[in-house]
Amino acid sequence: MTAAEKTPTLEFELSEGAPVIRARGLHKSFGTFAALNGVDLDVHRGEVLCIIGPSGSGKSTFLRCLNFLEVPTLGTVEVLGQQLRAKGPSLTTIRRNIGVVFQQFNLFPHMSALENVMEGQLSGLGRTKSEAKNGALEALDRVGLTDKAQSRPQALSGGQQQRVAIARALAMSPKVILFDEPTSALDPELRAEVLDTMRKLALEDRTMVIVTHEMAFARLVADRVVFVDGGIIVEEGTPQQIFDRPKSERLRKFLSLVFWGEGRATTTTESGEVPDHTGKGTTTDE
Amino acid sequence: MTVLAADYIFDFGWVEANLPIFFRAAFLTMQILMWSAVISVAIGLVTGQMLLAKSAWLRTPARIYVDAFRLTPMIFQIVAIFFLLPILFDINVAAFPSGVIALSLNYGAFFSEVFKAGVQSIEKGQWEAAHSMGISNTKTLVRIIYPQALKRMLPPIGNMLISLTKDTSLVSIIGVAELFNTAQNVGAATFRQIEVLVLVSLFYLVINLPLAWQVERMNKRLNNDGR
Repeated sequence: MTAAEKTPTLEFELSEGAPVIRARGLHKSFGTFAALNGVDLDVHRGEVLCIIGPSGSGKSTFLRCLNFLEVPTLGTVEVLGQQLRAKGPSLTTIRRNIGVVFQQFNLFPHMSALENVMEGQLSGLGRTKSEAKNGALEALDRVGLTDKAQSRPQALSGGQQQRVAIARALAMSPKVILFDEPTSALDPELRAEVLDTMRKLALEDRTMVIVTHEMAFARLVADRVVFVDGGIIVEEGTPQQIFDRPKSERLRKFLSLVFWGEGRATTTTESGEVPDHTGKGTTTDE
Repeated sequence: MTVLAADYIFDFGWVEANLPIFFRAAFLTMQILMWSAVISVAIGLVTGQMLLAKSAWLRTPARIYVDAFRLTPMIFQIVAIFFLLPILFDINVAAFPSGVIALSLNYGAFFSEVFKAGVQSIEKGQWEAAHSMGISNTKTLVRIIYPQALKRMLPPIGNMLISLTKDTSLVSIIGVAELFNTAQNVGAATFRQIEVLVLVSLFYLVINLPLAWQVERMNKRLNNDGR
C-alpha cells in the first residue's frame, strides 16, 4: 500500500474564488474521431453547472475527462489546484473528492444498498466499518431510501437505484459531483424522484456538474448552462441567456428540436419575442 | 457372433487382500488432487491477471506460458518435467512433486483463461464506479470484480476440478503409486485387469461425487443470493 492510498482525503487550501475544476484545451480523439476539440472550463465552488448538447456532441466525454475516466488526448485538468495525471497514485487520491453519478447507475449488484454506499468509504477513504455505516445511513436518508438499506439493487426501481448511486457519491463527502445523464436510462415516470433529489442537493451549497437532456431541470437549477456541440463549447451563460436568448444558430436549432411539441410555456422570453422554437403548443402522445 | 463375452467370468476374489493398497493409492491420488488444485488456481489467478495487463511485458510471457501448456499434450508435459528437467538442467525432482508441478502448470494455464474471461465479463461500469471513488485496482478486483465474476466462473471451475481428479491418473506413467498406477500393478499381478479398472473407477467416482455436489451447492447459493 502506497502512502497516497493511506491518506483518506486530500485537503487543499483553496484561495477565494479559485475554481474547483479548471479544464484547459481539452482534446479527445477515439481513433480518427475527434470527440473534443479544445474545451476550456472553470467550475467554481458552489456552482451548479449544466452541460447540454446533442447526442454525440462530446458532452459526456467532456464530463468523463474531468476525473480522467477518459484521459484527454491533449490539455490539462486541475481539480482543487492539483493537476490530474493518468499514471500514479495521485489520481486515485484526487478522485476521492469527485463524486460521479452514472447514466447506468453502476451499482454493485452483489451488495445491498447500504453496502454500496459504504464501499467507497471503506475501500477508498479507509473509514472504519461503523463510520462508514453511519455515513451511509445518513446519505441514504438524504435521498429518502433508509427503508431500502438492506435491498439489493435488482430489487429496486431504476429511480431508486439512481438515488442509491447519488447517496453513494454523497457519502464520500466529495468537493464536486459529476452527473452523467443521470435520468437518461429511466422511464419518464421515474425521472422526477431523481431530479427532485438532485434539486435538493443543488439548493445546498454544492458544486455540481450535470450533463443532461432535461431542459426544464437545467433551467430550474443551473447557475450556468454550457452548450456543447461538435466537441467545443458553442455558447454558455445563465439559463435565461441560453434558453431565452440563444445567440448562435446551432443552439437555436438544438433548442427547437428539443422543445418540439412542448409548447412555448417553457421558453417564453422576457421581451415577449417569439423564440425560434417550432413548438406550437401541440401535445404529443407523452 | 461372439460368445466370448458371455464366457468371461468376473472374479473379484483378489479385492480383499489388495484393498489396503488401493486405499493408500486413493489417499495419494487425493493428495495429488489437493496440491494441484490449490497451486493451479493460484497460478491461474496470477497469470489470468497478467493476460489482462496493459503492459506487453506482463502479457507476453503469460501468453507464451498459457499456450505452451494449453496446446500440447499433458502426458508430454508430465514426462518432460520428470525426465527432461534432469537432462537439461541437472535437477532431479521426485516423481510425486514432479507430477504435481506438471498438473498444476497445465491446469494453471486453463484456469488463467477462465479467470481472464470471468474478469472480462464484468461490465466496465463497475470498474468506473470503483475508480471514481478512488478505490485501487487491487481492491476493486478483490471486493467488486471477483465476487461477481465467481458466480459466472463457478461452473467451469467445477468442471475443471472434476477433470483434474481424473487427470491425476496420468502421473501413473512416471511411477507415482496413485490409483491408476496401482491398478496396473495389481492387474498385472492378478491377471484381473478389467475388474481392477472397475474398482479404481469406483474410487474416482467416490472422490468426485462430493466435489460435484459441493460445486452444485455453491452454485445454487450464489444464484439465490438475490435478496
